[in-house]
Amino acid sequence: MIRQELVLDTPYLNAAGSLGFAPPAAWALPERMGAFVTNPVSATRRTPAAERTALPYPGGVLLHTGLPNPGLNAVLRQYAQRWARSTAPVWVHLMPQTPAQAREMIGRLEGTEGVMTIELGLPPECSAEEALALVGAAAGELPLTVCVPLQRCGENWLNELPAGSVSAITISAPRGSLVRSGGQVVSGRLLGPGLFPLVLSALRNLLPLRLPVIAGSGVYRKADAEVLLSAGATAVQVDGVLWKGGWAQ
Amino acid sequence: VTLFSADAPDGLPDEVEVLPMDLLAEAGTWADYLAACLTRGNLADLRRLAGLRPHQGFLPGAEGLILTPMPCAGMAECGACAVRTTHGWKQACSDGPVFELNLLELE
Repeated sequence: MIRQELVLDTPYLNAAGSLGFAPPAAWALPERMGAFVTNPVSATRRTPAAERTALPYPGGVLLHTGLPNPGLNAVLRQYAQRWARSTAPVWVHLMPQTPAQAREMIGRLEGTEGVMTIELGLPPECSAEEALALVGAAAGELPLTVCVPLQRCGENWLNELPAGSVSAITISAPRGSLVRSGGQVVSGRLLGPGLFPLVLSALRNLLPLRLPVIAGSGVYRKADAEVLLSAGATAVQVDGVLWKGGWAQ
Repeated sequence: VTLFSADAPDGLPDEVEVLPMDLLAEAGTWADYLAACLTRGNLADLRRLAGLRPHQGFLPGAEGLILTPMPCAGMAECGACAVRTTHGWKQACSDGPVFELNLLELE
């Protein structure tokens, strides 16, 4: 299989989960949006987590939401027309739980106008074998980028990614845990500028794989984005900075 | 206007009476309207303080301001501020943050 090339207008993208399911009319950065990445979409509807919350800490914020979404069928009904009209290429972030789900979901998207790339989110605790099986099942006609959480970027199974069918690796938000008032431990995605040094380090470790790398999470300053691009990232993904109105100084 | 609160804020006008929370149950006998400030997790506490029986509702039209993190400010439908209602899941950032108390479901 020949690797599909990514479709990117500029190297500045939003991270999945940062701008909803449909491309916004405008976004907070002065740079043109290189592609729009949807919120994570599951095969069936997911409701919000029972203990959903956002817990700030000195390095950023921990988000525990359960990644609620109406499921692929409902997302397509609701947003496919807006994807077709999008001026930015649309990347759909999928989070299948099994290889069969991955094949079915991607089959539905291959004929959807405006969808230019599949971004594959892996279950948080999946094994190397499960991850590789999902990646194998996700290979199809559309370019495929595999989201690897920051804390998993050094794992050996990444060397076994099929270079012919994976178009890129996306470094995505790591997971962590914090204690909320009352003593309960909450786990979730970490967002914030404190992650930047770890992302730069992960990027440098991933480049020998000879796959394009999209450096996401921890990008809050324009200068930091430029450092990642200079270091070899094909593009950067921004998340929480979009909710704060633009680049931090 | 009566404020039921453990702490009386400074600078309240004289027209505002401040009463302790444990007198809230009596308000059901004379109040025309109830506005509450609560988190998603303490609806049950509010019901208890209001002296409601299991299937009894708040005063018709009573409303609650839901205190919850809204990290994406409505830009991402991130779900952190999701509120469970009798009409399904709603987002405090875009559908609220004020909801009819009788539409909220216990969590």
